Amino acid sequence: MNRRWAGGLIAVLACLAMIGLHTWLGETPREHTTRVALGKPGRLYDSTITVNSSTIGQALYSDNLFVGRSGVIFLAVNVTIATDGTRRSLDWTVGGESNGRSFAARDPITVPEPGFRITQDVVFEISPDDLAGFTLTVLDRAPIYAYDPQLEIDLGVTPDAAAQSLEKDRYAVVRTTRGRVEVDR
Amino acid sequence: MEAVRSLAGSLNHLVTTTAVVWWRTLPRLLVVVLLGWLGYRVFAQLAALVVDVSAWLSLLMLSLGFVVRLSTIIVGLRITGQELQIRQALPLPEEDPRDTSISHLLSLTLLPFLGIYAVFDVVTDAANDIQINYYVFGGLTFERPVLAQLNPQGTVGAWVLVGVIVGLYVVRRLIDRWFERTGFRPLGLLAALVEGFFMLIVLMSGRQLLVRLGNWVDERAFRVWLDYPSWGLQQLFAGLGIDISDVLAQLGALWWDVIWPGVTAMVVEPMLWLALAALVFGSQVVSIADLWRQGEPVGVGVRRGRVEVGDRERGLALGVQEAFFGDLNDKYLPTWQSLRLVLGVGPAFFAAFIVCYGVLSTGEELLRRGLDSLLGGHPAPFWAVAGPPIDLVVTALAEPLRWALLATAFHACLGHFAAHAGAEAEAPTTLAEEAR
Repeated sequence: MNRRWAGGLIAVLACLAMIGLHTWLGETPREHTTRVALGKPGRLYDSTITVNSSTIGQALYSDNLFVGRSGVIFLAVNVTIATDGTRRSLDWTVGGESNGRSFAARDPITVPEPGFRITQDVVFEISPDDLAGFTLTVLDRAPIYAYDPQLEIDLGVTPDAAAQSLEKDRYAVVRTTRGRVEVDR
Repeated sequence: MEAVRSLAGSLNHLVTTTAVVWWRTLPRLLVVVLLGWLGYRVFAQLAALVVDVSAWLSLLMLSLGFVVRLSTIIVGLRITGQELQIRQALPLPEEDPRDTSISHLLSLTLLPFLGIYAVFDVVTDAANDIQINYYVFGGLTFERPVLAQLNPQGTVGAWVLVGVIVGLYVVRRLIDRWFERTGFRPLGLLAALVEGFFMLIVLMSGRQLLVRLGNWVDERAFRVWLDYPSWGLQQLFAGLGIDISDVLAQLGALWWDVIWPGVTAMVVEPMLWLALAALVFGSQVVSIADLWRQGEPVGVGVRRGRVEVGDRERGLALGVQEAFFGDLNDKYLPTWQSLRLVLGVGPAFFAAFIVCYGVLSTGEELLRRGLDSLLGGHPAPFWAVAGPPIDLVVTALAEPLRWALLATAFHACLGHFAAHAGAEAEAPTTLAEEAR
């Protein structure tokens, strides 16, 4: 390889390396993510959210009403939201992530008025393979986009625990609640 | 192996010399950065405050902010250039006839500067900041359009906008001529300000005019003709069982979402900044040959009006030519030539510069993200207060380094050209070597 070609190759490689660096860096994040453990309260703008537990099954009932049967599985995550600040957040995005895939919740979440709390279930329809390592994400967007807080709550489902849970409850009935608003004491 | 050695040598030279120049000029550069940052911030905040009075006034404030920012960059580059004795490294005659005043450099570099900022969405971000600050100061509302007032499809009619753009162009050319005749420096600054205002209007409203033009074309019957080739292509590949639209969509997504942003941020941006630095250090240099021409260099800024012509008609024709093509001669051509100049240095140097600039940009972005992350998630009113100090910290660290790197790179370009031109003068010694 002559000198000119070698120089050109070096320049192309340098450009590719820098483009790779830029891709790795990605876009400037618009949210600040905090990891929270199961059962521990996580703080958003004017609310506190705690993930209590999770259940799986094939048939879904919401407040004793039959909703449907899944070809895969339903995952219901029980959460408590308390608005202990002065304003009720208006734009919440609740989702899930597992194995690099993102999942949307079946129904929007209810956020109580200031001074109140609610315990409700957030339901996802996922593949059994995505149960292990499932993470709940909750984002509270302010009216003007800035650098908003987001919580990532790992449900703590290890591959072994997922296998046991699937063996036991894969075809079970999941009973969920949309919750009742209570005074936050 | 020689190419790798050359790359390593260029990297070593760029890093060590940049570090030495940065360290030696740091106090002066920090003062310049602070003043520039303060000036820009004041005008940016004023722009948000005066939106209710007039969107045009707000845009004028923003253009003042950009002029301040560019002045800061020019002063910073000149300080680092002085440290490296770049002027002495340029083979210019004793009595250099070129105008090296800030006002002249401003008029020369404003176009590429705002061009760079427009390409990399800095102008759009600044406009967004005005909007956010306006909402933070006055509360969120959708009743009062902020800079959308300047949308030709909004309250301002398209013809009014075209009239303002043409009017500003004429005013700026008149101020330019006045400045040339009198040499009165404030007029140069005024011309730069008018040009900044003109360019911001073109960038922010002119874009909408283009969109409107595109929409008009889309509504015409002949627009369907343009779809025929793609339909034919789809039919052709459908016979082979290939969904060419999907393939092209995926390739397009890869190009526009991954490759192109990387190319612009990591390759185009550093080269444009180096071209701008070349304009600041060696304004009116037309080509490499001119750079090393013995005697007076050919300046692109030599006015045709100053050329003695034989008859009146020819003089008039040249005057008209100057009025219409003067901008091309004074601004676009030097920018283009600067770009050619820095692109012609050689692949190893090019690679080293790209890597250094890329690492610096990445470090700057990581620092900004780190500081944001330390403070955590907060609403816009919080960032309206906390954002500027974070920006100051990042700017104070990154900008001096960037100026030192650009000066060092241009200095290295000169050394490279000197070596290639077989100039008798020795290639400029590096400050890093001096420091050792």
